[in-house]
Amino acid sequence: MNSKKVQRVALSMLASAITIALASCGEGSKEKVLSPEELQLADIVKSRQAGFQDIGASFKAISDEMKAGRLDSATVDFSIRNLNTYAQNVHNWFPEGSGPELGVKTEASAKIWEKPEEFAEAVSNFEAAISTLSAEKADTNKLGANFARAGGTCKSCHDVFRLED
Amino acid sequence: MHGSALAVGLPWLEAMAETTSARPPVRFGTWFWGCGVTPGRWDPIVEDGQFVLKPESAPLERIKQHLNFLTGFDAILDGKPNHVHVSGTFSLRSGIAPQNFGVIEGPTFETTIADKIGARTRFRTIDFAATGNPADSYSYRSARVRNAPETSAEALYQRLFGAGFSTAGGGEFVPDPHDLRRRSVLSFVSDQRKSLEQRLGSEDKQRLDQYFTSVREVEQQLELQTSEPTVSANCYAPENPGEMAANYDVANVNANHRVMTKLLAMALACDQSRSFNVLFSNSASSLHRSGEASSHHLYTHEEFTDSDLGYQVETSKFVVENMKGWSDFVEILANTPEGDGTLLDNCLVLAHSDTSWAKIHAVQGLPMMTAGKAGGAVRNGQVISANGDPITRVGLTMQQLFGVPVTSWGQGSMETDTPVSQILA
Repeated sequence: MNSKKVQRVALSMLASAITIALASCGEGSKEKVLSPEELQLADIVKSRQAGFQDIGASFKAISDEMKAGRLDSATVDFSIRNLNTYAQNVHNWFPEGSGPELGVKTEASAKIWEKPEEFAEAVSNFEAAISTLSAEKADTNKLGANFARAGGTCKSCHDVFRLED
Repeated sequence: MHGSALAVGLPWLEAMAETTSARPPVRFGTWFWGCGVTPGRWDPIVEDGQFVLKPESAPLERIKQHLNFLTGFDAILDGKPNHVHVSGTFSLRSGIAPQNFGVIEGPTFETTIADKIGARTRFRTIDFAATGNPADSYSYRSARVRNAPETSAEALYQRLFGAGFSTAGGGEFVPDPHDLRRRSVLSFVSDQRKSLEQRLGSEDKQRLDQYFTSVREVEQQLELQTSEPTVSANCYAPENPGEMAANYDVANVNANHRVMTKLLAMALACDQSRSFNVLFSNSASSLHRSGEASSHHLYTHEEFTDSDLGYQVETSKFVVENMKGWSDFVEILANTPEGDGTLLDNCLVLAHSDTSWAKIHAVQGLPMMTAGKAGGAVRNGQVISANGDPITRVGLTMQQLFGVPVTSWGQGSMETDTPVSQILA
């Protein structure tokens, strides 16, 4: 093969590689383009996920302290205060349009918006349980039961309104 | 009316104080660290009039007499999202809980103070980040304009003590001809402003106004540089520290911070500025120890709580590093003589973090301290427990202390007209 032929084959292979690369770029860029309103909703999804992560971390912190027998520690007190702050806001975290139909990764089930009254009741049960946990946090005899009740309200809501991975 | 005398009272003007008092100026500044503290391991109690410090505040032992601790002040978000590592700082600094991530909705209060007290100094404000990253600043003149910090000791030195710096007593004062020429050019430009304004719409007028505000600042600076400075006898140009490594390695941050703080202290002593913002570590602290893969921030989320001790051991060590930095900062100001006392006596510094307990991104009880006496207006040695009061009470107090005419500040549940009177002398 003379050198010009080698050059032509090499260029042809390079062009094919570029075509494949571009085609695969196209394959990867099928993500939905969000409107400004949808971007705002996507921000809310992100914030609520961060909020639930912090709620989970607070529950874990309390649970760890209880297991270690430190029922009146600063960590327990602080975590309950944090839970109480978050609990009062959870009902704001699910505006219409922020469900699976948005096309961003979420574990929120469409049932939240299909059964709004049931969901509102589930959130209200959570808020009430955290409120009691907070109000009675100084009473270490009640802490275990109040904490279990609060955790129960999380589970009953997740059973219906959270999508499994 | 013939022959009758008419007297018109003038309001108190700063110029009056300049001519009737030899007291040093009073300065305001902020000092920031990221990723908060550990519940129960930082906030001290007061016993027999003395702070009893906790493990994470222990590095403050040598400077504790200069401090107040402000605890229990909450960022109240009114249902807005808790944007992690952002909502706390923005709420404290602007009085408004942000709706969107990273978008501040008003100027930060310390810029209002800087405008009030810094109009007659060479620099409206001196800002530096010990981390080497110019994005590490939480001082905003408006929603879109963030104050850029100096990020290297060499650059800070050049800005403060390089071209344009002069002290009294260096022989006959001769203004720099370059400065005189720039001043005359600016005067000419200002003369053209009125005729241009007549041809502009309201939006363009607003833009032009913003532009001329910055021109006015340059003019003021040039006015100062072309007239003989009146500065304290303790003012001198320090040695140029030269280039230093600047990054998130905690050893480098400490070294940078100490050198830059010394430069700042001398600049304040020379009355180059009356306002400053210092960042020791960034929001969501990227501090790390040399050779380790994990940063302070990663530790806060990934480190398991020690079941026997009840806290995250490595995370807590980083809090201690931040407090060592704060201790160094206060000590350097306290060791700088000024008048009958020290530079720190004539400063008020507000130190705060972005979150209280970073593990859960809590914005209630954001840890805050003040250092200094603000020329006698503030008393030290207090632990204020606010029990969930809006964090804006702190910003309101600072603004009122420095003469900003504000009676109420903050938005929504954070609107307040109640300053933290316990720290006032």
